[in-house]
Amino acid sequence: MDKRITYQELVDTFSDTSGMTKTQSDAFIKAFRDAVIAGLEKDRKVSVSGLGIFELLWVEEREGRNPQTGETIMVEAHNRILFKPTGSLKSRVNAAYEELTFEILPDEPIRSSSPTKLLDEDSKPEVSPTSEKLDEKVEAIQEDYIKDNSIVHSEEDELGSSSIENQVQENAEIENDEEQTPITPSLPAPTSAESFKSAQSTLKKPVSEKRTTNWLPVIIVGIVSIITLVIIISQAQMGNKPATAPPQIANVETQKTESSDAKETVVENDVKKETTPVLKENEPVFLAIHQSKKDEWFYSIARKYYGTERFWVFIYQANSNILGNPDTLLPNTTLRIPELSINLDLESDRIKLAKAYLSVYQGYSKNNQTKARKFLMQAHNVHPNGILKDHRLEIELSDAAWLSLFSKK
Amino acid sequence: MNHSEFIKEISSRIDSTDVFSKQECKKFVALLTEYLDNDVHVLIPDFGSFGTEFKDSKIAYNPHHKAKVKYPPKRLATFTPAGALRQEFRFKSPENG
Repeated sequence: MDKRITYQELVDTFSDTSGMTKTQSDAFIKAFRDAVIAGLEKDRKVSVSGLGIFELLWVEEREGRNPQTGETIMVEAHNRILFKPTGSLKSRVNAAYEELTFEILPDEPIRSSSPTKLLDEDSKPEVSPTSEKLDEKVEAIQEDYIKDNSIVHSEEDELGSSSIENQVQENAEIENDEEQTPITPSLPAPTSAESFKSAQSTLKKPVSEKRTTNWLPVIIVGIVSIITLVIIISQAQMGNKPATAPPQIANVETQKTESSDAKETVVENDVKKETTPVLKENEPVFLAIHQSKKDEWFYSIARKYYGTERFWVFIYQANSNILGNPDTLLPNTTLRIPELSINLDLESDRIKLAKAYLSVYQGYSKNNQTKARKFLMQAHNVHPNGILKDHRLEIELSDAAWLSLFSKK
Repeated sequence: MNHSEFIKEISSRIDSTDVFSKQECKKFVALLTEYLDNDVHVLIPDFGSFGTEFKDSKIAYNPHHKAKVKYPPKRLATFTPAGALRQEFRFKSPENG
């Protein structure tokens, strides 16, 4: 709604708010106006606190165009009076829309060069000839041949009966060789088989063309399915191979620590070593291969396979070569879930956990320094003084300096 | 001309102290702001009119993001100088003054 107030109303309101008389208010407003004008004359710029800046901008001579006639005209150099409101006035006036922010629009889909045409009521789509139309065309061709052959037959009568017998033999061969539309008995045999074939082929062309085009997408789908099968089989093989060995390695670890069951485990290992391939101690063992879903993160995956969220860092460590920022886990990412047998009372297992925290730190270090330092601190807490000594090269200088302060404390 | 010089100019015209002029100027600016906040056009003869202008949302290319960006709508405070004032200052070049 476009509301306006007159100058008199302004004076009255100002006199009410300021406590001055109406003449004094009128004098003040006029003095305000004259002071702005004087400031523009003197300095070309006047700054009024709480309101804004009045400024004179000199616009150089330029070539313009009369929008009505299209003629080019020269616009003289002149001054423009500008008003720039203060930030407080801007935000007050724009209070209703201040919380809104700009949004980046996604890329527009590529449009096809030839837009699809809508069918009008008048326009009829091109349809392959129906059976009725085909019959009509055959009949038309037959009539044409009748006309042609009547002329030929008249010529043959002159020649004699031997030529007719030859023609009949040719027709018999043609009928045996080709699958064509049935010819009515009244139709005499065609003189040239090639001309008849060409006439029939013109009718069949659209059908044959359709048959060839249908094979291409089938071939493409077949190739894609074969490739996907190969990928799945290879991934399954990658997951299956370690599954054969876990009991052996787990038993090797327990053998080192527990002496009571050592003999039994040694016997078992000897038996199993004969059947299963020997793996290195440091080589990771995978429990499963997991395909991440939408809005799924490492916590839920760790809870599913380990029963606790705490050891999600091992999942990240096992897949750190394909993952970047730990906060972003894209859907349909194949993750290798490592086998875990952690006993935090043992120093070796604490070192493993510290290394896992360190891998997460490296993942965060490029994007989020606060989170990176959080995991660096957790690594330090689990393996005090070992992180800075053994893994100094994996930590950035600033973070190492920050950590050293805490280690001294 | 900064704000203090502006206040002095006002005080010289109404024969008052700078303190008084500053206070009244503050009240007048607050009144104008109140009118603009309520979308009211204020006309001052031989000077111009203060008002607001609504700018609808628009889609434009942002070179920083290198993508099309949808800008939200906004309301701006405007000042339209009077014809006489414009004419007075139109051909006063910065060199001549």
